[in-house]
Amino acid sequence: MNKKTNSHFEFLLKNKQILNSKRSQHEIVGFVIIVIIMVIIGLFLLVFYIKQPSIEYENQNIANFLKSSMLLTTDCVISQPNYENIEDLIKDCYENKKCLDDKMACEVLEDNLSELISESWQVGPDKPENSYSLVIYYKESNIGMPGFEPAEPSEYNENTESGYHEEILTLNEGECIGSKTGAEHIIHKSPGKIIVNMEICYTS
Amino acid sequence: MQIMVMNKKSQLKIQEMAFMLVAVVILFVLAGLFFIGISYRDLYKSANIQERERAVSLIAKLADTPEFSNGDGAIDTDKLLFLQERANYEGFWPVASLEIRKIYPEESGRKCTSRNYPDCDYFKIYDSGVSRDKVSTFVALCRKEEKDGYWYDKCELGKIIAGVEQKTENE
Repeated sequence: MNKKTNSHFEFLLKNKQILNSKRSQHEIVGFVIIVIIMVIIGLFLLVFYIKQPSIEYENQNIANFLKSSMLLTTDCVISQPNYENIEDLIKDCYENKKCLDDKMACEVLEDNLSELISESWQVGPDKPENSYSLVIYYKESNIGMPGFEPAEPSEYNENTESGYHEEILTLNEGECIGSKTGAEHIIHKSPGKIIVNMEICYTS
Repeated sequence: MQIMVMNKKSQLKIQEMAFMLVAVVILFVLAGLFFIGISYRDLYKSANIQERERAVSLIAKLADTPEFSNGDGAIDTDKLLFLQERANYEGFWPVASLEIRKIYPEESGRKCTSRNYPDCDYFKIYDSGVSRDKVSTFVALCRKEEKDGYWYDKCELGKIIAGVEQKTENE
């Protein structure tokens, strides 16, 4: 009789242990689910934050700088008596033209632009603006149109899904730390357009 | 006896649950406060940027007025020479002071007069003398020049600098 009671008691104890361990497992699973949900929410917010565009707005000052510098008169004359301005020189550089003094248009453009930027913006590691980049490129988005024959892809140009790109000039200085701001200036050059893009990083 | 033990266990469970809920709510409140803090900081930053952009747009528009413009989106410096320090224009523009300065090519720091023009750097259009913040933006400065019998537009890069009256808390 005593033996029977003992075995009955052992059975109950074992069953209770199983029940307890199942309950613990449920709690652990619940806790893990909460943690997973919170991690997913955190990751979603992080991705949303990181995916924000690097340039949040167009900077009016840079836009005015680009617009004004396009009118700047240079020493390059392609056809007498006209002195080329920066905008003309960009087009001349794209077409690989030469000035009358035998200098390449691209060379004059690069000299003028780098001097212009260094006089206009104080860029340096201990200055408010710590870096800049100026990219001038030709863009054509009518691939597939009848009669359109893009140039052979090379180190400087590429055919992408969005169209044909060809880099004309790139200037940059410094390493970007802090906020980035910029602006674009568009020059129409049939059948595409030349885009002058300038970005400046400043320590906020 | 068993019912009492069960009751106590349930109470403990409810307590556990309540603590957990309180902890989760506190966590979300802290995360929310953190997010709101960042958003507000960005809000102030973007408000300041917007204000500055507005001021820059305003002075860029000044350069397009017939008193300054050469008709091609640049400032005609020949006009500036005759606009300098004219009492009639006081209060005509919505700024406290107005100055136009050449920055490229090379600058010598000389104020432009009819005697040294165009070998000079800046034009002081007017100055009301009121305390002010300075706002500036880039403009193209053009003038007519003649070479070998041909007239052409010679353009340089400059800055239009305007003084904006400071607002104090009492105003």
